[in-house]
Amino acid sequence: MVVKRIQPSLITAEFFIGSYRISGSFSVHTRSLGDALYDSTTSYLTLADAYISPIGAPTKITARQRDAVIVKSAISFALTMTKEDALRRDQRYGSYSGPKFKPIYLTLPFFELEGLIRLPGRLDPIVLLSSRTEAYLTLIDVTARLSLQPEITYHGEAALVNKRLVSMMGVQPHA
Amino acid sequence: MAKILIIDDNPDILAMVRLVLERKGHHDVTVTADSQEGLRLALKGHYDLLIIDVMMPQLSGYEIVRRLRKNHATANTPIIILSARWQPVDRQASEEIGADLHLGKPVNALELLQEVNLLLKQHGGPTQKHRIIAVFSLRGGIGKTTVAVNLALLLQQIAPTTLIDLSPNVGHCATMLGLHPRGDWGLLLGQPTTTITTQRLATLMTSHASGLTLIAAPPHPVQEGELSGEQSERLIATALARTPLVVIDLPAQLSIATMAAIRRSSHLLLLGGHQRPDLQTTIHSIPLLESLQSNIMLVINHPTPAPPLTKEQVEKVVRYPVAAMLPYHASAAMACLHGKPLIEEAPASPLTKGLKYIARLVLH
Repeated sequence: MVVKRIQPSLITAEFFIGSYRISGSFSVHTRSLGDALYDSTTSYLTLADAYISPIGAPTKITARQRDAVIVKSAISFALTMTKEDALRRDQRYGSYSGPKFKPIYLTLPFFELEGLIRLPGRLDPIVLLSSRTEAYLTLIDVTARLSLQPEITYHGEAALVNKRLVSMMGVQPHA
Repeated sequence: MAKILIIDDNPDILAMVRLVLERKGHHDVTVTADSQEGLRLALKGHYDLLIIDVMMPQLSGYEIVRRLRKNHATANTPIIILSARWQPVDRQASEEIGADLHLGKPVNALELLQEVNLLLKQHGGPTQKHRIIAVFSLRGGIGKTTVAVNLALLLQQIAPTTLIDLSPNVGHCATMLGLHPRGDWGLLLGQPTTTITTQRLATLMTSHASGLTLIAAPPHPVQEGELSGEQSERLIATALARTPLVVIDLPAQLSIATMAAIRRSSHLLLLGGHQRPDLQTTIHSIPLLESLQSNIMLVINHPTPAPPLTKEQVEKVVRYPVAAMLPYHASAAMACLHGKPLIEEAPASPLTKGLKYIARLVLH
């Protein structure tokens, strides 16, 4: 059995909000999901064909909305199928490939995440969570595990994580 | 060219996928946005491949796949799940219910076409699928059993076929085939439905030299009781588990067993004559039968040498499309009496050609 996704100008992404898993299509015709999420001038995202499930029963679809609006500040994290879907315009050129990525571990409401984060050489990891910097962290090669049901995992080539909801972070600078 | 059914409540997806599969893939595509209608169509087993959305009102794609996998006619039909979800848990869910491929939306139709063609190839291409062909007429004496027997023999030349003679009043399929049945379905009367198993059915079956299998009617009229709807369905399903093609010679009465068989069939061959009483019966039969079966093929037979009507004339009277016209053939009745079916007795006759045309219709 093979799973494939074929991508034109719409992408599908997974949004984890509280105890909900919301899968929906997002238009990347004008900008990536990363650009939209990092944009501090808007507080919401619009999705098409949003499927809603409890995080503990990921394949049980409890509702579907043709058009949905989600509040950006309520998103714990969003997973995308490809890295390009999540990166901002300025992150796409060169710096998001190569050896600068370090393993990172995060805890969020209901979830723990493992992945890689770009960490410039002398940057103190604490700065990553500073409220003065941007509202999201961009991780790649991400596995999200449900804390109380660790057998349930979600994967994405990239994740956009809401820093405000991160309760613990561990970075291994020399790994 | 394969027959493909797409069930998706998104009209944009339906239009796009249909266009590409038809224009670029040259496939015969049926689409429906109604999940229950989709299930009903799919259960008939007409399709070489199914493409099913997951989240739809009324019935989810997962539930549709579950039901199709329990159905003999669709147990092995290749199924592609189209979903906006692409997590391993989603793929696993598709796999567990028996789908062959999980594709994430939004879908590129050209790549979908590649996946469709690949899957068809893996399953041996658009092959002969399971078919249940019920032959019925509310009017006796117009050659219904002759058509059923010869159609079954023609289909047997293509794939293993079972002929079920459901007549409760001494059926004649065995006589027409020159067979002496070693069992008949009358032995199932009064038995629990669960006793109708493949092994049990094997003891009731009689083989013809062509390889055709016959489940004969009881040799005496059934006086007490009859097959229940559930038994009738089980009998047909069990026969279908043995052979991919099943032809049912239905009695000329709408009993519970007959109606269950009509519902269960993939094609209802409604046989009509060309005389005025025959046409009247046909006109009044169609609305009732349409409530039981959507795939009705009206066939007009000419069992007597009376001047035939044209197809257009019949259609004008009955206000229903005629799928085929069978011409009169003098030795058809004699062939039955000799126990040598018409297609063997007169393989080049216009009637045999007409029957071959019907066989092609039901297969494609």
